[in-house]
Amino acid sequence: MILEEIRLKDFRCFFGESAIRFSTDEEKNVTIIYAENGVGKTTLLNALLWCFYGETTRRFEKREDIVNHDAKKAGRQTASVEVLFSQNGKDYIAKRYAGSGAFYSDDRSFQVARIDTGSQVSLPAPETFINTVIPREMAAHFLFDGEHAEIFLAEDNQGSIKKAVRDILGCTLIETAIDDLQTVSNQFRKQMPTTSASAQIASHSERIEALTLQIESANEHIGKLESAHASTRQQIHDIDEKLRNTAAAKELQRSRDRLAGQLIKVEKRQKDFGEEVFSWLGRNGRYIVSKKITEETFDFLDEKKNRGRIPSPYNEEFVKDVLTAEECICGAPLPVGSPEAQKVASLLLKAANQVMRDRVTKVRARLANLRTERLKAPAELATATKRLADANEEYGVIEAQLAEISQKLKGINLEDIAEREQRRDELDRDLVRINREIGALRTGIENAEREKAKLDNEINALAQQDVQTAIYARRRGLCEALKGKLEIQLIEEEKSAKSVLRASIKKILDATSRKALRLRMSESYDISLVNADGTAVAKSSGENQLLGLSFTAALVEFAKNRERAEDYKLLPGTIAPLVLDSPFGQLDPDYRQTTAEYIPEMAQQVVLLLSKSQGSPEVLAELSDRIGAEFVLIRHNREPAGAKKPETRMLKGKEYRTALFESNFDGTEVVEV
Amino acid sequence: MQEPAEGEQPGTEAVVQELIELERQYYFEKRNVKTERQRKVRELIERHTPLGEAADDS
Repeated sequence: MILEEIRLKDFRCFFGESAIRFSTDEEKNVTIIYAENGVGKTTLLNALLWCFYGETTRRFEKREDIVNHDAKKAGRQTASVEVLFSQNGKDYIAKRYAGSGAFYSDDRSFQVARIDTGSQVSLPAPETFINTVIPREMAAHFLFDGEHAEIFLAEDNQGSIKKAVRDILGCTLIETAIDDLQTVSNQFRKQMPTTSASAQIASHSERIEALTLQIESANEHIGKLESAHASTRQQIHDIDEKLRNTAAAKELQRSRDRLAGQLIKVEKRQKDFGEEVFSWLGRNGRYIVSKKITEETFDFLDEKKNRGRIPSPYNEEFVKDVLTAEECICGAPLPVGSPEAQKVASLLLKAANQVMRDRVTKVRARLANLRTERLKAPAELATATKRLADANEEYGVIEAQLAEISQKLKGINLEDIAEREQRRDELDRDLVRINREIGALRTGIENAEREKAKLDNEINALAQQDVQTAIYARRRGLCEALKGKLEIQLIEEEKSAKSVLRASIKKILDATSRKALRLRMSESYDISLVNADGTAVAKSSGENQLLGLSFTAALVEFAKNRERAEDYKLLPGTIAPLVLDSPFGQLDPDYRQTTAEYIPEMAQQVVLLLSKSQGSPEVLAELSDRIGAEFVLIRHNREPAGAKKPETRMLKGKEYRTALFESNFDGTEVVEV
Repeated sequence: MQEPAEGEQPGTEAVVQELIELERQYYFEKRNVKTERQRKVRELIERHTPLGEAADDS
């Protein structure tokens, strides 16, 4: 898909009609939209999503409130977004309307038409068409929200990362099939006829139903808690951002950012050293517990050795040689069958052979090894435990420093700093409570799932024994077999997708980062960056914003490479424009430049939404050869300027006032640069 | 099309293919009709496990 134009009419903050013509030039493939915070960057991003799918991102507040307030005051009751785009060489227009009345709530509120020599031919199934162009599940991943990047990659957000990978991989069909098979299998279970043998089946089934409800309710609760978690994190992030930009709090917030980074590193060390202690105990615990048995066995062997019992004083090979020669070493004859020969032969019962000697030697060697390792053991364990204790201590010190900073901030009675910090504190406590609740719910779910699986197996075993219920057992068996096959395939597909994404992210990091950074992506989608020495890079740092951007770029590239994928179980990928909102947020000037250099390569068409601080002269200079279109969003306010300083921006040698006062409306105007 | 894995009932892959085709059709053409789609999945399972046959499909 190539975006050509977006037309907004009374959509949210865009009063009246506004339009943006995107650059469709292959070389100059970047369209920049300059806008300060709160003017409409996120609204523009959401206008695209809303037009195509009727949806908006989670961070879009008051989602149902689509029609511009001033337009409503002026008697207009509808809003619309039209997007003109081309796909496979053909031009299309997608339109969505919002307003009150039946028209706006049924299928007619969304239309897609093909533009044929100026006239528009409506497509009969617009939603289906849009889904073939960009599957709905993939769309959100082409929209990068820089301010949200670090939260997206947070350690407790693996679920979203996994979903992103699966969405871009086109797993929807497999995932839906698995869900459907589970539902159908449950239906078969519930419909088993009542027979003399099925009383137990009925009782198990009832219990499964109760457990299912319990799990569903817990999952629903987790969903709400996760949403609350994301929103709480976002609020903390917003408060931090405000404190960072408030003169009186700037330094303390910086210190907090630095300490938060250190805390993450220490947490990582705590985890590593804790694992080291446990793994050491798993590997070497036997050396410690073996002390008594080793000593006793050595004592026993030595005692027997001293008494000439181990190994035996008689050598089996020697005795046999004497008997074969029929002559003792003293020269006395030992004829076969003679009492002397029988006496010598009886020594064979006590004689040691090579095998026995080897065995004793091995036992000695093993015991000696246990003894040596045990002597080393306390020192090694002590080192690992000390490292863990040091990390715990360091954690405590940083926590105390963070608490001190918080106290200091609470004591600043300027520019609402104390109130903000107080609120931040409450939000922090909320996060801890939410995490605890989620953990308890997850444990409950795991237990319920285990019990369900056990009962389910028992039901199938019971059902197979009864003629009338056997068919249900067979059908459920088929559901389970298909489900299992699809689940295995999903895991395999994900595994290969992960390795492609890893390689892609590495390539992007190599191109944009000046440090030797390595990506760490665990099987459970815990994503982090590590320095060359293996230490974790702080999540709040610019490097991690770079990681967020790299992850998005890798998803876009992956979707592109899968455009013509032919696996019938997966949806093919797509080529779509990449919309980047504030991608340079926390990057320092050097990173901004290298990233700006790379951004035009990230997709065939890129739309960049930039505030003044992000669109620095260095960034724009780097992008200059690739910019095909530029717009600036201007905020109109009815109220007078009062004490507010004028906001201006110099673009292409012309000064633009980006905030106007005493206007006829409150809203945003789009102006082409 | 993928070959059945070792030890797997022959024909399972064919059922998977049919199932995915059904899901694909509903994904693109009939979204938001979950109940109808699941009824079709049920019919598919019933078709592949007819009454009177004692084959083990698991």
